[in-house]
This record gives sequence, structure tokens and C-alpha cells, in this order.
Amino acid sequence: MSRINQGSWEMKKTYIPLAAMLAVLLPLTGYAAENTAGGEIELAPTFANVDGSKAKFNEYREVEDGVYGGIRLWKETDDFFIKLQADDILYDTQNYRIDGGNYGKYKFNLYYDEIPHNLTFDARTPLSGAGGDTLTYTGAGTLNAASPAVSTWNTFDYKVDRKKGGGGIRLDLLKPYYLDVAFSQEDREGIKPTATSWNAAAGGGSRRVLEMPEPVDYVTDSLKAEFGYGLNPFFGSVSYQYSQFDNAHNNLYYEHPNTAGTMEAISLAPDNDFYKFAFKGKALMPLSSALSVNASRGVADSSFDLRSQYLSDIGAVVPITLSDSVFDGKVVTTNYDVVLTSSPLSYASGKIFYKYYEKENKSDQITVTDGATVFHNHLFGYDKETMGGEVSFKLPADVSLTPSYKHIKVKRERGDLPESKDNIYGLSGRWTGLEHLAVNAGYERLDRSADWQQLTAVIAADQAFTSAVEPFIRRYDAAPLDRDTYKLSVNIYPTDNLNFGLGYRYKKTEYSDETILGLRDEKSNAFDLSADYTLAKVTLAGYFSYEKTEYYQFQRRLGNNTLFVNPLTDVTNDTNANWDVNEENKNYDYGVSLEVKIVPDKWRVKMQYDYVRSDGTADMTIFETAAIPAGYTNDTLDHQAWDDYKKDSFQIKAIYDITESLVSTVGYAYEKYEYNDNALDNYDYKINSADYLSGAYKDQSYEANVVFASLKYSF
Amino acid sequence: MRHNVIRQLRRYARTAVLCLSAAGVLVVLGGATPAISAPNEGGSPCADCHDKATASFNSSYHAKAWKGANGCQACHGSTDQHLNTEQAKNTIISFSKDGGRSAKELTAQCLSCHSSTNHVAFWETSRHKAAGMSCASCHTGHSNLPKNLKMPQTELCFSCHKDVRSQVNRQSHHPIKEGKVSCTDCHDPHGGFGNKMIKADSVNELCFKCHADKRGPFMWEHPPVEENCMICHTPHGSSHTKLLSKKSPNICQSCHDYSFHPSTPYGANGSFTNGTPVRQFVGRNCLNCHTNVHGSNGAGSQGLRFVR
Repeated sequence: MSRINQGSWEMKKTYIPLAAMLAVLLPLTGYAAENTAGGEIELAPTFANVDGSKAKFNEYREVEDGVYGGIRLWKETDDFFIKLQADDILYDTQNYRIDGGNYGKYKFNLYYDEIPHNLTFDARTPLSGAGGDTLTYTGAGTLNAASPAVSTWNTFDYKVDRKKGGGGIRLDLLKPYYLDVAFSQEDREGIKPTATSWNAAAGGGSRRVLEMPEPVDYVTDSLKAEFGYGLNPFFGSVSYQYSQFDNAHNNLYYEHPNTAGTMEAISLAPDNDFYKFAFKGKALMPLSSALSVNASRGVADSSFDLRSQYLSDIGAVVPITLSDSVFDGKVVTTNYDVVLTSSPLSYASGKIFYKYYEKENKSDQITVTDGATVFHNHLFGYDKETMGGEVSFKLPADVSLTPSYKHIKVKRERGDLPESKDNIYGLSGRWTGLEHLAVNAGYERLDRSADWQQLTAVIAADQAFTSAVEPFIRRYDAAPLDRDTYKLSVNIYPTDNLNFGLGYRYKKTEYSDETILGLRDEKSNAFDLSADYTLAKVTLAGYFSYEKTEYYQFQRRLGNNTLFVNPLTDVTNDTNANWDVNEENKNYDYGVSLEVKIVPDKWRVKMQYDYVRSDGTADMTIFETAAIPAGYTNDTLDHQAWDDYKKDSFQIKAIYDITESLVSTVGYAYEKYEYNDNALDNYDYKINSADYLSGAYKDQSYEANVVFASLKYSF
Repeated sequence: MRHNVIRQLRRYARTAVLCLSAAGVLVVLGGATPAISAPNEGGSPCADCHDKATASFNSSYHAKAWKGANGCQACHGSTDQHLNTEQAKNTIISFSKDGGRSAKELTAQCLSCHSSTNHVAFWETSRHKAAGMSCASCHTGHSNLPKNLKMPQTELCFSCHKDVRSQVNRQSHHPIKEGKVSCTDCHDPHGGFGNKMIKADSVNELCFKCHADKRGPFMWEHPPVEENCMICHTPHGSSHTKLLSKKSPNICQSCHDYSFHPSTPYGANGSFTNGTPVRQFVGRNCLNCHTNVHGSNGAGSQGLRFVR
């Protein structure tokens, strides 16, 4: 939408809700008197002033000057009900829903919902065509350090709008049989950041960056149908699920900065289909037992026309030979679950379970011949078995204990860690010895072992280096580790109008000694408090949460395919050096709310204040003086701004019931968000002479004042 | 790519369905259906003492859905002793905290009507059941909120899962507090077969329901992405952009220690603030070049390295 048209659109946003509501309200006034239907109509004029990032302030919402409208209508009879709900009419968050049916016999619904996701407004690019799948450079010659000036670049917004509509119907007319069908269609449109690398000249040192707008134009159609039977002691259902994803753009074409008129392509999300059949069943058995089963099989497939060439870093065409010009992807998932639960005794209950999940990759293996280099894609698949059980005992003194055990085995079609085994031991307890107090505590121990094998490099020329470095690496997603987790919670509710809660969690993960390079330790401490109290006309509530997470990773800087990779014994110098980083993130948030009923059933005041803070640091140490960047020391290398932010939010509103059917609200809200991060502070669109960034996530701080009012009429 | 005309037709069709539905609602509201009957007026002796409770029940979904045969006793059991001798809570089936009934007893009372529906068919497998909760922990038969919840869903879940509330408050989050995503979009509180009671057989299957663009299948795969989104992301909220569990480039370097830039320490010397920004660190750091980390169909080695 052009900026000029945007003005008239804003006017429409103000007046259309008013007109729409009047149109609905007038014919309904007659029926309201018969008390056969009811409803609410709400109008909320709002005035918002935002300094700073409007995108971050409105990340998932649209708060701006205008009149917001909402409608709720319903009607009920002995054998039918229907409800309509509409909110934020004509705004980017508008949503509409219709529910109807006959309780116990059938129900249906239709809905439409919009969710904006605003990332960064007024981003910039030297390329033209943002939002489409072809980006060109329209200036003379090629991009270079001096031209064009950033101030002349094209602007656009990084935002993605999600619009989802759908419905469903459930039939219970032939009980105990039922049929449940739901469908939806979701459109996503907008722009998100992507990027590419390039180089100004052959052998011109480090590659450059070109960050660009990627078009988002997706449609996803979904359908789910379930037919079942439910009458004790049996339950069973079969279901079919289908999802079709359609991307209007399968490649993003862009003009290479070095070679005007020569287009390169970035592959985008491929069109794909997914369908799944499933069966679920349960049988109640003697001794208060139940056997539950689940079986499903799903297939995801895609097809993509591969390119037989790419542009080199400097923009030269590099032809490649493919064993097949079309990649057909197919992944089959199979899942089985069996769960047996039993409570044969008043003081004991238990559960045993088994789960098998397999992801089988039947996609094409494509062989690529790039000059003298021949390689192919590796197809990843895995299967996972989970089994275990738990028994709960009720002991004297209102204590219950639940020991548990779980074993997980994962086999992966992956070169470095093809198999891992988890043994998880747990013990949880609960004490309810006092009438108004409940204490829960738990401990869990995870021991993971993993088989390691030498990784085969995709490109054979990389094998010598790969063979040298891989023995020191255990990737954390499947690496051997020990993990201890402790949990404690106390809930106190001495009176009906007072509740108090306290929680604490501690988790520590130590990766085994086999992990030399990479993530080696993780630790988190977290506690939270909450309380609420009601006394006559006053309700007071508050919460506080704190979490500190720490990570330690040990790394080795490695020069160009060096074989001096051993961090324990090999030489260190300016290009081969050991280093580590201790990352620490402290998060805390708290809030208080107060509601005072000044005149009960007439007028009340609500206040809410929330504060969120995150303070991160990355403490880096390079264990070789020659490798420390000139002008720095190990003390000055550290990142003090590491996703640091704080957010203050305050809201006060007074609600006055003018009559039983007319309620007015007046309020004010304030929000201030300050964000600092070493990767984004003092942002520049050009990193060096010829790296072009677009401003994604730049300058996210904001301060906003919002005044609002509303008038709600119920009938 | 499918034809744009078809896409446009779909949109028109959807708009038409919505308009027709809205028109249908107006017609129905206009009197095309029989007149509404009176809600449960009670007439039971319960209202003499429990006027607020009977009033709240009469305005509840429960009262609308189920026209109240046997009145209050249907859920609260026989009231003979309660009426005639002792008014204590334990002389009826009370669902309040101090009602003296076990979770098993209270749940059985609800399941006597609801056990055959698919919504609670697998309650036996639920972590909530194992934690000693009953239906009354979250629901009340007197509620006029959707699903008979005691309070709005997100608020209700946060009252126990306080750590999740804190995560949702962080700068990168799913739009949960904005009311656009709810806990039950992903979790089934009544039990099921997924870990953490998720509504899918695997984490990725759940995520792909909304993020179908990540489903692939891709020619060039990033194995941890294909196994479990949670290896790099955290679902409820994070201090790090894109719901990452750890900030990049550190999260990438946790696995990728290789020659040249993957193994390079990116300290404060590489920031904009210090005047010598390093392209592998500033902005979106690793993603400045490796833009297709969720998988790629790019040409040759460019796709292999997720840069096309």
C-alpha cells in the first residue's frame, strides 16, 4: 500500500468499525427486548505515541491512533446456540469467530484470525524489487564501496502477516460414534531477511555480505478428519491429516554485486505436502487399569527443480552436473505408542510405556559434479525408542513418592554420533500434611552415552582436516553427558483469599571428557515467587522470577586446513590458538497488580506494573597472546552487551458502569524498552567497504504512551 | 509454484464463506430459530444458602450444555445429609480446595459423564493426573468461560507453570501474551502420547503445523534441524532473537569448530562500537551468509553450506 493511500486507510479504520457496529446494532435492538439473544458491542478509541522502533513495539500487535471495535452476539434456544465474536475489526490483529451447534449433538465453527509479525521497519537495500523474487541493481555499473550512498537506498519493511481462516464441524448425533472435521487455510505474506556472500575480486580475501529482502508468500491448506467410538470400556479413533504448503517463490533471484545483469539464486522453502493416518485406542481393564495405544504413519514430500549452475564469489558462472535435475524429497515417519496405567491399590499406581518413532528418509540422492569435485547429499534419518515406567506410592503422613525410569535409544544416519543411549532416573515427592500447604520436590538424573565414529567429509578434499579435528568434537545435541535436575515448589493457601507460591529449579549438564571442542557445561538456577490477596474491595497480586544460565565452551581457532588441531598438544600461534567463552544470562521479571472496587458493581480501578530485565555477558579468553587482536586484551575482548534489555510496562484504567448494560473505561499505558547488544549497537549498513547490510533488527528500543477509552454496550 | 489465479480464487472463496457465515448469523439472530427457554431456575433448596453459586451455575456453559436433570446433585452428590443434619462441605461432593475429596474422587465425578469423549480419553496418561490434579484443578462447572475454565487459559496455566510465564515475558517469544497463541495450541493438558503432552508424535511435526516452510524435505539437510527443533530453539520465550536457546554465533560454534571463520573467536573487537566490525559477528552474524540453516536446495557446494 502506498503511503498516500495509507492515510485514507487509517481514516477507514476509524469509521468503518463505527458504521459496521451501528449496522449490526440497529436491527438487533428489537430482538434484545425479547431476551432471545444477547450481545456486546465495544468501541475503543485509542491514541498512541511511539518514539523509537514501532516495529518492536507492535511486534505482534497493532496499537495506533484509531477506534478499535469488538462485537459479541449470541443466541440460544433449547436445541441450538450460535455465537459471533469479532475483535480489532479492520486492524492487523482482527479476528472473527462463529461457534454454533446443539450441545451434545453437533458443533461447528468458522474463524478468521490475523497475526502480524513486525521485525524492522524502514530497512534498506541498494537493490530494487523488495517483496518480489527478483532483486536488481538499477544504478550504473556495479555495487562498490562508494556507490550508491546508503541514504539513497530503497526502503522497505521487514514484516510478515499471517492470515488464517478455517472451520470445523463435530457430529455426536450417533453416540457413541463421533466425527470431527477441521480445515484451515493460512496465508503468510511479507518480507524477511536473507543474505548471500560474494567477493569483489578473485582471491580478494574474505567474502563480503549482501543482506537482502526475501519474499514471503506462503499458502498452507490443512485438513483433519477424525472418526471415533467412545463408550466405556473402549475408545478408538482413526484420523487423517493433510497439509499442503505452497510457496509462490521457489527461488530469490538477485543481481550479483560484481556483475551487473548476471543473476544468482537463493533457494527458498519448497512446496510440500504432508499426510498422516493415525489410530488411537484405549481399553479399560480390571484392577483400575487402562491400555492406551497410538499408531501413525506420515509422509512428507517435495519436488524442486535444481539449478545446474551457480555464480562464484566474484560472479563468474560455474556450471555443475547433477545426476538428476529434479530433487524429489520424501520423508516417512512411523510412530507407535503403548501405555499401560494401573491403580490396583488405593496406595499405589503405576505406568509403563513404550514409544517407537522412525523418520525414514527416502529422498533422492543427487550426485553433484563441480569441476573435478564430485559429492552428493547425505540423507538424514533416525529412529528413537523410548521405554520406561513409574510407580506412585501413597505413604503415611500424607507423603507420596514416585520413582521413575526411562531409557531412550536413538540411532541416527549421521556420520559422527550414530547412536546414543539415555538412562533417566527420577524421584518425585509430594507432601500435603497440612491442610493449606502443598510441597512438591523432584530429582532427575540423565546419563547419556554415545557411540562416536570418524566423520566422512562430504567433499573428499576436506577429509584430511576432518579426520584430524573431528576426534576432539562431540556435538552437544547427541554428545555423551550427565545431567542433574532438582525441582522444589511450595504452595501455601492459608485462606480462600490468600495464595502464595514458591518455586526453585536447578539444572546442571556436564558433557563428558570426550568433548574437547564445543559446548562442555551448562548450568541454570531459577526461582520464582507469586502471591495474591483479596481483602474486601482490594485485590493485590504479584510475581517475581529469576533465572541465571551459564554456558562454557572451549574452542580452538584453526588456520586454513591446518593439521595442528590438537588443543592439548599442538603448537599455538596467531592463527592456531585455544580459546574459551563463559556465557552468562541473567533474566528476571516481576509484576504487581492492584484492583480496587471503589464502588462495588459501579466503578473500579485496575493498575498493573511489569518489569523485565535481561543481562548477558560473554567472557572470552584466548590462550595465546599472539592470537589476541591488536589493541585488545583478554579483559577488553569480553562482550558486556549480550542481548541486554529492560522493559517497563505500566497500565492504569478506571472502569465505570454507567448502567447495567453500558460500561465505560478510561486508561493510560506506558511502555519503555531498551535493548543493547554488541552485534547491533551503533549499527552501520556497510560493515566494511563492500559489505551491505539491510538493517534487520536495528535499533529496537522504543518508548510509548497510549491513552485509551472504551464504551461497551450489552444487550 | 502453483498458479496465482488459484491462490486468488482461494482467497475469494474464503472471503465469501466468511461473508455468508456472517449473514447466516444475522439471519439466525433475527429470529429464524425458536425462542430461547429459560435457564435453570433451580427451585432447588440449594439456592436458599448458595445463591451466588446457583446464579453462577445458571449462567455457565455447563448449565447451557446440560439442562440440569437432577440439579446440583448431579455433580455434588446426594444432599440429604447436608440438608438435614450437617452443613459441612464433606457431606456433599465439594470441588473446593478444602472439600476433603481426593483428586481421584473428583475426577471420577466428572468422568462419569465425560469419559467417553476423545478430549479426555487419555487422561490416564496425563502428567497432570500423575501430579495429583483433578478436573477441578482447572475447571469449574460454574464457569462461563470457554471450556469451563476457572480463569482465562494462559493465566490459568501460568498459575502453576511460573517459569513459562517468565519465558513468555522475554523479548523473543511466541505471541502468547498477545493472545494469538494459546498453550493448548501445542499441548493437550488432558494427556496424550507426545512428550510434554504435545499434540503431535514429535516436536518437529508439531512445529511444522505452523512453520510448514521448514518441513522440506530438503536436498541439503542440517541434521539437528531434522531431528528436533528444540536442539537450537526454546518454545516459550528467549532473550535471544528467533527463540534461540543460546545466542549466535556461540550456538553455532558449539558444534562447528572448523578451519577459518567457524573456529574464530568473535570478541568485542568485532563490534560496530569498536569501529572494526567483523562481518561474521555483527548483524545476524552466521546468518549473514549461511541463510538457509533449516535446509537448502541450492546449487552444489553453495547449497551444501546453506548459503544459497
